[in-house]
Amino acid sequence: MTPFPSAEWFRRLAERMASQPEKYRRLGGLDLTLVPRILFPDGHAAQYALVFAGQCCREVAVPATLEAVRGPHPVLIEGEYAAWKEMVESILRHGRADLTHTLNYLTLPDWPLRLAALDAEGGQLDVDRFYRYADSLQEFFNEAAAVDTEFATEDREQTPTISGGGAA
Amino acid sequence: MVTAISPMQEEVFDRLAMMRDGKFDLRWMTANPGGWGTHAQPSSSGLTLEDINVGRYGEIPEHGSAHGSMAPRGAEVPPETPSLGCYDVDERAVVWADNAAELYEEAVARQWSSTRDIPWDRLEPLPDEIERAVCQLCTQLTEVEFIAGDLPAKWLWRINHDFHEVKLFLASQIFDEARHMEVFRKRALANGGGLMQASPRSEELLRVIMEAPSYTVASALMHILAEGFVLTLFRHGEFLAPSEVEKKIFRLCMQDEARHVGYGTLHLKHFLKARPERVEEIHRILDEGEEAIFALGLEPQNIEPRLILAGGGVDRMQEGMMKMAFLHQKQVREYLHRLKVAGLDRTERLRIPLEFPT
Repeated sequence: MTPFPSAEWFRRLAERMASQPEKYRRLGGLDLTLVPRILFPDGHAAQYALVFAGQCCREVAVPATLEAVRGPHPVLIEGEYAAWKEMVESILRHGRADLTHTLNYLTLPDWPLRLAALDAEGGQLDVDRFYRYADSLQEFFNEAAAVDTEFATEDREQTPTISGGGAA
Repeated sequence: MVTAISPMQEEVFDRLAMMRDGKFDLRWMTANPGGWGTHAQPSSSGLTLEDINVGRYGEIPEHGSAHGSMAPRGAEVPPETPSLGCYDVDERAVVWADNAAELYEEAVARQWSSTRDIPWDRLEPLPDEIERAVCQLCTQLTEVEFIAGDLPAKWLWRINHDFHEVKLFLASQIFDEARHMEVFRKRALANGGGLMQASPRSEELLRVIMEAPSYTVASALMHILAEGFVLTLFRHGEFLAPSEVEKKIFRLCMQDEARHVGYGTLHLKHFLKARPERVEEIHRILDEGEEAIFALGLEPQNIEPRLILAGGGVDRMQEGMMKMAFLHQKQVREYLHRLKVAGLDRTERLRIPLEFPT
């Protein structure tokens, strides 16, 4: 079981990506640092920095703060734990995000997830990179379908689990 | 019948005779000595256009070469090379963007096929009014998308070959738009519906873009204003998609459109830095373009299908309006942010209301 959220969980996705070079080569390369940030009801947050270069997620880091994020073109994707959990559950259930749980669907209205540039100079152009790589990023998250995921609960006291096993 | 031999043919026959005698020219083998010995190194993605911009080959001139030919940048150009007389868009300031080479490479790597890559077999019958709304949206997009092919084509043949990165990017954009025209037409005709009503307001906006007096002005209108708005429209299309088919279509088109917007934004930035005195030209055309795009946005055949899709049916269009209000703000906000990156502040001059008139 791989806990969500955790660096290990994102590394599983990165490993799945690395194991399918032909699929991601055909989708096209990326040059982006995606920063998923999960907000918990108790007020704390977990953030990860996924450095995408070419057809790989080259690094999964756990920056202490958003200011500590390192990597080119950092773009924040932020939302409450419940929204993240629902998205991952959708992927686990359907083998990919269903119509109402794609990254674009969840971020377009700025709720339940929102996008923001972390680098003032890149600004909107960095967010536009998220749109440029939309299909690759969706496929990356769809890899969760093959990751046995153990969810932290919103109050972090229980640990219900849901198994993935279907191919992405 | 005896055909007269022209001087050029005579020269060719003379050359042929010399070659038969073992007399070869070979001067080309020592041409361009300063450009010889180049070892461009591939980067992680392979050997990119940026990777080969080394030494003299990477020197982008402020003014394109005066020879006016298609001779490649960095090659030796014999003095007798004739000018083609058409490359009059030949200042770096009026075409360049620092991301043109990167975006071209990205476009090549992210090509897709509307025949192969869309899961057409997952199309399902939709309620009549939803299918009509999807088909009207596709009619509109089939109509407007190729402006971003026609417009670059109008200017491409005039751009100096020393700016090949820009020419290649624009060529990729034309092909992207061909695919968009193709995929939306296919979707309209694939699920029991068909093409619906064309849009006079669209034509008014397209005319403003086509008649723009210079390349940069046209680019600001098309790449940043029009394609920026269409980019949000594609995101909205993905959001509203009734099936996996439309979802995939809009997601792939979104990727393409974002590249075009990226070029336009950095081109305008480069232009305004080099020609700050021409900022008013850009403002004036955006005044006109914003008014046209706002009028287009409220044309019934443009907005009503999206209200139906957003609300979930004809009887729920007013619910759709509330959702569209947010989208409008987002569209305008992102447009202003891109202009800000380019160095243009239109906050005080904007001709589109920030708030959607509900």
